[in-house]
Amino acid sequence: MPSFLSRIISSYTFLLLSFSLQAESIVSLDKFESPINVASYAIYIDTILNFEQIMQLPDETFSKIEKSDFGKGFLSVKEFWIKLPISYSGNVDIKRVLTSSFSKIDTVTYYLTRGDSIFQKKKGGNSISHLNNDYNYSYPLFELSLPPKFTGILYIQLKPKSFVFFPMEFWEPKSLAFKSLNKQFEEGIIIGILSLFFLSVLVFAFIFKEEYFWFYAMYLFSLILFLSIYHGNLWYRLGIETAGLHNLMADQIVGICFVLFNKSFFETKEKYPLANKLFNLFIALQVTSFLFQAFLDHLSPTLLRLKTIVDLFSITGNFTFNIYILGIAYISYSEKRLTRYLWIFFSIIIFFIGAIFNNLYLMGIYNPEHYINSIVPSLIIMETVVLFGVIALDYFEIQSKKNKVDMALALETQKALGNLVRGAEQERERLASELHDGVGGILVALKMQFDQFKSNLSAEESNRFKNLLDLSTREIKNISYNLMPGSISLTSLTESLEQLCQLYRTKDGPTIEFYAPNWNDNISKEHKLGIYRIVQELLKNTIEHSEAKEIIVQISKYGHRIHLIVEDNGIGFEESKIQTGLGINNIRNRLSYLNGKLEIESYPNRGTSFNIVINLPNE
Amino acid sequence: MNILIIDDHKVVLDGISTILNKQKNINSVTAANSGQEGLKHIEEDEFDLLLLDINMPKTNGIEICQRVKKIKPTLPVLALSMHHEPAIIQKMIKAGANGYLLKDSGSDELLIAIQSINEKGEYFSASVGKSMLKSWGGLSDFAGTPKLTRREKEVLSHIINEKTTEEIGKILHIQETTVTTHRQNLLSKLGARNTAGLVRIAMELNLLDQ
Repeated sequence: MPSFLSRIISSYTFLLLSFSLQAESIVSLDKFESPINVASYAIYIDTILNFEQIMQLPDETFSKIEKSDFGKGFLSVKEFWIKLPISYSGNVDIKRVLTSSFSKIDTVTYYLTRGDSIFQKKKGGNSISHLNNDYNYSYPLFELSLPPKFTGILYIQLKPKSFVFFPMEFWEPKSLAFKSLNKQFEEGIIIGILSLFFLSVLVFAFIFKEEYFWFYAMYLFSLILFLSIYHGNLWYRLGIETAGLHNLMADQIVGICFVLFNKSFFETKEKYPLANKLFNLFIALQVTSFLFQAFLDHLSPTLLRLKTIVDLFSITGNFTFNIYILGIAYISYSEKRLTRYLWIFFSIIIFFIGAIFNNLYLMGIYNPEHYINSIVPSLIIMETVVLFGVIALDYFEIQSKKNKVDMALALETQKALGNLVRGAEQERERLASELHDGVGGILVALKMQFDQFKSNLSAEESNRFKNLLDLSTREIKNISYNLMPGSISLTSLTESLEQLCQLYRTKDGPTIEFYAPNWNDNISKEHKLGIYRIVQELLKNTIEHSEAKEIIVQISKYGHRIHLIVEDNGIGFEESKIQTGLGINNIRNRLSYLNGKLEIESYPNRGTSFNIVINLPNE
Repeated sequence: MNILIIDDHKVVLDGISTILNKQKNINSVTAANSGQEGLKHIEEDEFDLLLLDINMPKTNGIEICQRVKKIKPTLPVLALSMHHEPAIIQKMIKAGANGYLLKDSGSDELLIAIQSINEKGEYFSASVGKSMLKSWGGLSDFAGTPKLTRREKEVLSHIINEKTTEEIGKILHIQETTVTTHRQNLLSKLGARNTAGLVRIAMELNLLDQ
């Protein structure tokens, strides 16, 4: 991971650098001295007057600012006033939020007059000031309540901190707009939708423990913060003043989270170096465009038109860029053709929607009241939906691949285990038959020959020989039987098991009951031998260790399921002891290739139950 | 007396042939190395006795015995085997064998067996009888009250308390199919035809108090 972190830090240092350069460039604009003609709407004054005095001022005092003056510079005054005639023809009380773009204003107060008297007076808080590095933003100032059929004049008193920078469209009538509360409601909905996505991604992150889910959740959260901070909506509602730094921070946080998320997303795709390279290329492009923009700002604020062209990359790019990148990333690794083409199509469409709207805006054809409120959030929402989709698709694809690999691995292990056990059984069989048929046969022949010659020997000698011969035959027989029950292929499993139980029944030992309540012998030799060995192992263990008085062996078969129970009434085992015992391990190994499961229930001084279920293959 | 021996082991074939050839009342001894070869001889020639090994590769003695009995129902078969498992002995008898001799019994008993089959039509060695008896002794437990496993007892007690399969599964934290298996095993072990019979037998035998 350190290489991953260092890569992020290094690539992001550039981005941060470009941001700070950009911020620096805006501050530096203040150095330009250019007088502004006061419009008929506004007056700037060096000496502080009270409201009554302002009201007395004739309209000519308020000078009009021409459009050609937009964005030219700043004004250094103690305070200034805006006079705005308002008429409302509606029949019901309405509330409107007054928005505008001010820079570095300390306090705002408004007086709403009807006739000669003050109808409403409200004071905005301190420093509704923004380190405003863009010209598309409008900030809520007040909430105005207007009665039906209202005609009056709104005076706005602005007290700058030291100087005021007038952004381009401040003097445009539209910029000092009444923003409908519905609009805010819509923004609330957008934030709400984002929050829902955020919460669901958090849930996924908790469930699936995939690293990039966390980063994606972080990114979504930063978008929510971004919308809240940049609009000032949240702060306005909470009655908190926003400062320019918040916006810069919002930018930074979104950027950082975005890079972290994308990086971690690509980290999971190490196999796709092309996508990774493309991603790095886009990061570089983004950084370059920021740097270029900052550079242009330094040169001259009048080059705004050019600057906005660069913004085609930075602003449009900001929000469509993710989709674009992810689209490319997905294309480069998606194995499904249809998804691939859908992706190319979708990313191009989204990119162009963003680009077209941005261009329309730049050309002045499309000019929404609140640019940020309409395009950017909808792009964010689009982006979120698409990203969510990608991640879901990606995740399920990874999971299904993982499952396939896991299953294949499990199958391999099972096969290998099966081969191992089969191999061992074959070897035992070979040994058993060599002993039994080979040596055993010779002994049989020897014994028959001996019978023919024994008349030549004394009774004692003959008996000794006979006993030795009997003993060796019996030994060979026992050994070979233990190696491979010769009867297994000649008899049914239940008969072999009954025989097995019979072998373990002794005078002083536990009683061994064998039951086969429902049985047909329609199983493979492999299963027969496997089950036989398991019962053999369990019986041996139980008789040796359990001190049981009674043992029940029971086998039944229903459909493709075999139920095997070996139960005793002995002293019981400690769970840990029995789970790791060598015998139990052997049994589990055998069961894993027979597709069976072992459950052990043990009760101190009451005994142990070994419950085995084997699923036979469907044939 | 003409005798045919079928055994896949040459040592055994030779050993038995040598002994039998010395007997006065035995005219000829034919040795076959496999079941197929033996069957051929049986179809072509007449024999008075077949000595048949059970444990052979390809076709085992039990199957060969069945086939022999189809071709020549009157030909006596004496099974020769190292196995003393009751299940195999039973199978051999079912297949029509007239006698069962454990291979390690020695030549004396072999001759006695041949004589016995010749005269009485059957022979079973003493150790075979013992083995069968022992197995019946083991089997005799079936006649008594069957022992129930812990799980079966639990399931049975819930059945008596009128719980459904689903409920029992939930109470015991096991799958319904497993409960069904226990229930069917219980029916089979207790010889009951349905749940009512199961409950009745359980009560009669006091199974839950065991």
